Amino acid sequence: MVSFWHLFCLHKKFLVYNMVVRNLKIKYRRSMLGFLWTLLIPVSQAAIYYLVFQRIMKVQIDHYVPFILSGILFWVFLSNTLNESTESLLANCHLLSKIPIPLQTFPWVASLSHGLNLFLALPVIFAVMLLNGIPLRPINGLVFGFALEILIIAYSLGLILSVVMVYFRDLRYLLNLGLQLLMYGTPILYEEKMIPESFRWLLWVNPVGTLFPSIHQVLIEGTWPQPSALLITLGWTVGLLLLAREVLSRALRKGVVEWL
Amino acid sequence: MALTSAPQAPAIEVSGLTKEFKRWDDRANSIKSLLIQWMRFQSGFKGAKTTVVLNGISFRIGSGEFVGIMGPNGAGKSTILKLMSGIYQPTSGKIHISGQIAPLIELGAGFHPDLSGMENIFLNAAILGFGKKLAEEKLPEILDFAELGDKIYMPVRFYSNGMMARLGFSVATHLPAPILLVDEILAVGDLNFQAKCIQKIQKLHAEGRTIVLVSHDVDAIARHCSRSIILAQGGVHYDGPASNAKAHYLSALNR
Repeated sequence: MVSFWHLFCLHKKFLVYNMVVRNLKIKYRRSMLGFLWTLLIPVSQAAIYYLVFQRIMKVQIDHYVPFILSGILFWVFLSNTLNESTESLLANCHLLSKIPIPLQTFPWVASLSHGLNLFLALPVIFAVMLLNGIPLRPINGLVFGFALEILIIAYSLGLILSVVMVYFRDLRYLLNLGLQLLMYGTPILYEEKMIPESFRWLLWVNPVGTLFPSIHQVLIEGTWPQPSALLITLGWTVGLLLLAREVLSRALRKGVVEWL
Repeated sequence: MALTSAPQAPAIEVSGLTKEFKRWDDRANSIKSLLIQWMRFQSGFKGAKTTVVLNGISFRIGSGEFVGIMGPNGAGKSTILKLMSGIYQPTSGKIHISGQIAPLIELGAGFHPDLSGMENIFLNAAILGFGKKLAEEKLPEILDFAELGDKIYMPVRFYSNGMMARLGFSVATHLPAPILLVDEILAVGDLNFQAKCIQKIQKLHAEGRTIVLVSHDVDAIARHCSRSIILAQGGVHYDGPASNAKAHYLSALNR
């Protein structure tokens, strides 16, 4: 069984550091506006949703701009990481089949690189909240914990999907569909309380179903989320991490590298 | 760096090593075909076809030896290198390696075209297994050997293949691992570079490192290696002095 030390590549810190630095350098190299550039896509997405849902469809949600922006930034992190991680073993097969590198390095580096962008974007959410007249409160600090949880969820799911992808290459088409379902099945564009009571269980079978309402509650309402919501998210985080560890251990035992 | 070890302590010990690759020709390789199989109530697995690449081979490579591995295409040369470096697991049998391995299997592994040579040194070194301290410590020697001058600050997309190979070779040979695995890389670069590479490898051998070289070039192996192992049809066809290897290699090809 792979140890947690190895699962997070802590025995390969120099490798992980250099690969994350490479990703950031390539993204930001061309301009000093690099970081703003990575923000541009989620921000314009948020602007579109704001226009469509608030202005045209007249959805009744207070502070819709910080509401939508915080949701979109976390969502964009998750979907970017999953898209990149899932392909990461196949994309790096020329390395994996020639040099002994732990294969979890690739999904982990993808998660960390996108995760860094997410952490850097959190202050932007705080700024938008202030502009929108929401006072900052100590409870807002919980979003850093939520960012950590979604980082582990994204890494675990990405690692599992990257291994499955080696055996079933059409997963990439299903992943797109799955991500769309997940996005509309999660209270990102709408509020949790808009979901009819009979459909609430859907949030519990969704790994991030209770995470996004908690993010909104902590930022917009400035109050503690339901303990049950916190527990379910934590359960998904730990559960997926254990599952990812099991999948990785089995993949290594079965010689997944030979299939690349 | 001088490595002090008894000349005949085994660096690599292979005993009864078998490597099989399984192949399922009728196995679903996409989710779509998996669903179709289910809908037709077929079980996907009608049994795997097994290709035995290495069949119970054994040999020892002593510390400080310079061994050339040859063999016809498909004889398992690359497979045995991958088993030695730990990328593949043996199907049965054992392979024991004492000490770290420097893989000279792909030069410039992981080079990113948009990063400068200098930035790529660290990336490549990390991929090959250097730690931070070691990479910083070896940097002057790596730069010195690569002979790229100011071009080291240029993105490697503007490098010629030869420059890229020089830099990659320089990084890989500065990993102070007692065992070097070298796969056909001497085919890159011009004659000057090849001569320099051979010289460097011989120097490392003189320092006491164990070198395992995989090549099709019989004459090169006869010239540089002290011992040659010829693999054919899943077994060891010849294991002995490299100077006598040529005739055995030709017989392995014609078998």
